[in-house]
Formats: sequence, C-alpha cells, structure tokens
Amino acid sequence: METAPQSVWRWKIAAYLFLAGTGAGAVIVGILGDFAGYVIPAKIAIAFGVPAVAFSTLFLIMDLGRPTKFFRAMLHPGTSWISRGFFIVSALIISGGFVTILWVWPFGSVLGSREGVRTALEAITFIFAVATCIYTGILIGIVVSRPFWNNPLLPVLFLISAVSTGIGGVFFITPIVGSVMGIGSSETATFLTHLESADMILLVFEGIAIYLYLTLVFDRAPEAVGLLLKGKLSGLFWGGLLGAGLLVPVVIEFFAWMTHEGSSQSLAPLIAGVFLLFGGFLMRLLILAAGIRSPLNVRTPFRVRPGF
Amino acid sequence: MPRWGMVIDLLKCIGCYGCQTSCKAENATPPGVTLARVEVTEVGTYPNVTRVNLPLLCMQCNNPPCEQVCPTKATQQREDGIVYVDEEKCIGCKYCMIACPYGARYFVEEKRGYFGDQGLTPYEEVGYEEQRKGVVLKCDYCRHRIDAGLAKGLTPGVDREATPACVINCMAKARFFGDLDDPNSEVAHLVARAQAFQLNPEFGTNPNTHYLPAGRSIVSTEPPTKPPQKE
Repeated sequence: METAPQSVWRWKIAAYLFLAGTGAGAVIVGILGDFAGYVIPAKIAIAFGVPAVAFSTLFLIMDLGRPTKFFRAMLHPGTSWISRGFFIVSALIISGGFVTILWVWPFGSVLGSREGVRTALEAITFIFAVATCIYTGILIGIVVSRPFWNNPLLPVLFLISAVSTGIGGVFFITPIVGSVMGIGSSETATFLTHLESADMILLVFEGIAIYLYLTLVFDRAPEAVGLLLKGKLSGLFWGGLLGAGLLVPVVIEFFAWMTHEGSSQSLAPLIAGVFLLFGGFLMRLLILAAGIRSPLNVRTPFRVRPGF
Repeated sequence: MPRWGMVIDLLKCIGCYGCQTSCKAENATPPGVTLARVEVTEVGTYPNVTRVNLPLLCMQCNNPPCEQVCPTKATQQREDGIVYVDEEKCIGCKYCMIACPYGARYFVEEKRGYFGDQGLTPYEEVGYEEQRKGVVLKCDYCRHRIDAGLAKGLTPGVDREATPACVINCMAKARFFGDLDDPNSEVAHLVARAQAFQLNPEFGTNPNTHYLPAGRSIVSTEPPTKPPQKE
C-alpha cells in the first residue's frame, strides 16, 4: 500500500527546525570557541547564530493559521511543548541578544573587558542553545501515534545535526565576513581548521546516529522507514541527505585535513558549509515528512462458528 | 454529570456515507473538512482478509493528546467528556493535528465554498458566518444539539432532537449514543459486551467512542449441534 508522507507540518516547520538548529548550533560553536580563546571567530559565530534563531521564528509564525495571535502560544507551558519551546527560544534570543549587543556590536566594549560577566552570560546562552536543539526533538518525539518520531534518540539526532549545521553556518559565514571586513586572521584560519576536523568526526557520528535511528524505529514504523529508504522520499534521502548532506562534506573536510591548507584562503569550508546546510534542511524536511500516523487497528471480523 | 459516548456497530454499517453527509449539513463544514467520515479499510491477515467500512469521528478521548499539546488552551475537555475547540483561542498551530492518533482534526485554511467562482451559496453564507479561518475544527458530538436538548429536558441518545446528527441520520442504525456512566443506557450495555473495542487503545487515549466488530466471534465450549435431520 502506498503511504502518503505527513502533510500537516511542511516546509515552513522544517525551515524553522533547520534555522533554529543552525543558529543554536552556531551559538554553541561560538561560545565554545570563546571559551577556547578564539575571540574573533566566536564573535562572528554568535552574531550569526542569534539572528538566525530570531529569524527562524518568523517561519513558525508564518505557518500559523492566525499569525497575529502568535503570542498566545505561551499560555499552556504545563503540558504543551510549543509553549515550553516558546519560552526556551525566547530565552535564547534574549540572552544571546545581550551577548551579541554587549560583546560584538554595537556596544562591543562592554563585555570585552568584563570576562566574568561575559562567561556567565555565555553559559546561560549555551544552556538555552542546547535546550533549543533538544526541545524540537521532544516536541515531535512525544507524539505516541507517530512511531517514527516517538523515539528517545530523536532529540540526540537533532542536537548532533544542529551542531553540525551550526558549523556549516560558521563555515559559510566566516570566510565571507572575514574577506568583507578584512578581519581574516590566522586565528580565524586555525579555528576553521579545528572545526573541520571536529565536524568530520561529528558527521561520522551523525551517520551512525541516522543508521541507529532507522534500525530502532523500524519495528514500530516500518511504513515510515520504507517511505525513506525506497518510497517517495528515497531520492531525497539517499542522494540528498546521505550523499550531498553527509558524504560530500566529509570528503571535502577529509581532503582539507589531509592537505593542511590554510583555511582562510581556501574555498573548502565555504563549499562544505553549503552542503552541510543543505543536508541539515533536508534532514528536518525528511524527518517531518516521514512522521506518518500508525494505522488504525480494527478488530478482525471473522466468525468462529461452533463446529468449525 | 453524564459522560457522553458513542458506539458504532461495524456489522451494521453499510458504508452509505450518511453520517458524513449529515455532519456536513449540520455543521456546514467547508470542503475538505469531514468531521465524521467513513474510511474503507482492509483488515485481517492473508488469507483471512476483508474490507470494512470504518466510520470515524473524534473519539472524544478521556485522555486527549490534542488537549495536552494545545499551546493556547483552545482545545478543552468538558466535564461530560466532550473535547471541543474554542475557535476564539485557536491560533492554528496544528500541533493537535500532529498529536491526534485518529486524524479527527481539520485545518480551515480559507473560507471557501463548494462552488468555486460562483461564490458562497446562501446556505454556506449562513453556515460559515460563525466560523473562522485559520483555525482547527473537530467533531464535538454536536454539543450544540446536546446542550439545546438538555435545556429542553430531552435525553441525548433517546430524543432525536438532542442526539448528534450522524447518529439520528444513520439509516442502518449502526450508531448509538448516550451516557456511558448510566448503567441502564443502551451504550453502556453495548460497551459492556466482550467484543466492544476502542481504536488503538495502546495510545493511552481511552476514547469514549467505541466500536463493535464487523463480525461477531462466537466462542463456544459446547460441542457443535447437529443440524436438524430432514424427515
């Protein structure tokens, strides 16, 4: 029987999941970078990540039937993960916004010298950034009647993918900002080189996570897995997600790592970044589309007649 | 306080779609919205397979997942068990449609009539007047009929005026409605039968809509009786 993909939440929600994940991932990368002492690339990553998260919420609002009433979504945090997510994402935007405004632009000097305050603010932002990546997995993961999502590994997969697409966003934005503003330094180049190696490992983990995920959910959601592996979504899954989104960036990063070339001049991170972002978006889109409902069980009507 | 419930006998259902049509007439739902619907499905495992007409509507779960995920408290459960959408509060996030295991919820994207460029018919104009666009609709057991009937002193499930439209319109009399908490009601008797079942109870929803199977399994411990001999 041909099964149709899930069609309630479509590309707008996928775009939100992707952009919020990318932004939060970039914030995570930036804060870790600052803790490791890479100040300028950290500033670039945070100044890219926080607006990306803020921008992503526009897709959520656009998807609403009554967009002007979006603020009502915070009314039921007791049981609804949309309300909880509203608070988590708002907290990330606010605390991340403070870090951006007071450290990067326009009041960059405020936190530049006050290391303690900056570390504290960054720690808070870091927590909410991780929470943003994870809650989206819980948001759809708690739905028991959609077994493809109803799996504890989904938030983990979303977190890995968010950090990976965050790195992709940093790869994409850092060389551009560096060349436009003329701040491409050896510090940035070292940072990107380290990120390339880290992302290579992360992508291998992501591949393993996707494999594990499909194996785990197969028993309960064979239709959804079939849809991805050989159904309507198979082209996007094999060619798009696994090929262009995972394999190509791993190969690019591997060769960049092999040749040890100076990343600030090379195009490798930029190209890898584009593929990473593409793969991240496809992953959200495919996971959303594969979240089909369990079939309804009607008790079988066969008569057991006496004497038969 | 009663707990309204419905029993649908799949053995009696002939798949006439009368419930679907009467629901549309009663609630004036726009195209694409079928609060009561009939799905023709295949059940069983080969070679014991058959097709079954499966009338579906909101199961009015005692433990409704749609109510739990609603971020605006637009979906609420009344004390009599009926789960309904307060269209004023709904913002159209569609999380409830994701959470509902039974596909009983519909998103109204725009106010659209059945006749395209001709515009709305007078019936549609009246029917759509109170409806909003950009919200999610669901079956609420025709709570307007129940409430109006109760106000007149009628009994839902017994008096036609106080009973959901799909139930009174069922020409095969496959649908039963009443108070599940009243041990003397018809629905309570039917639900008490061993064969009565709820759809996908493993989701933990505990629906107030129950079904009777399309064939009765007769489990007998007595030896088979011989057919009467012809003289």
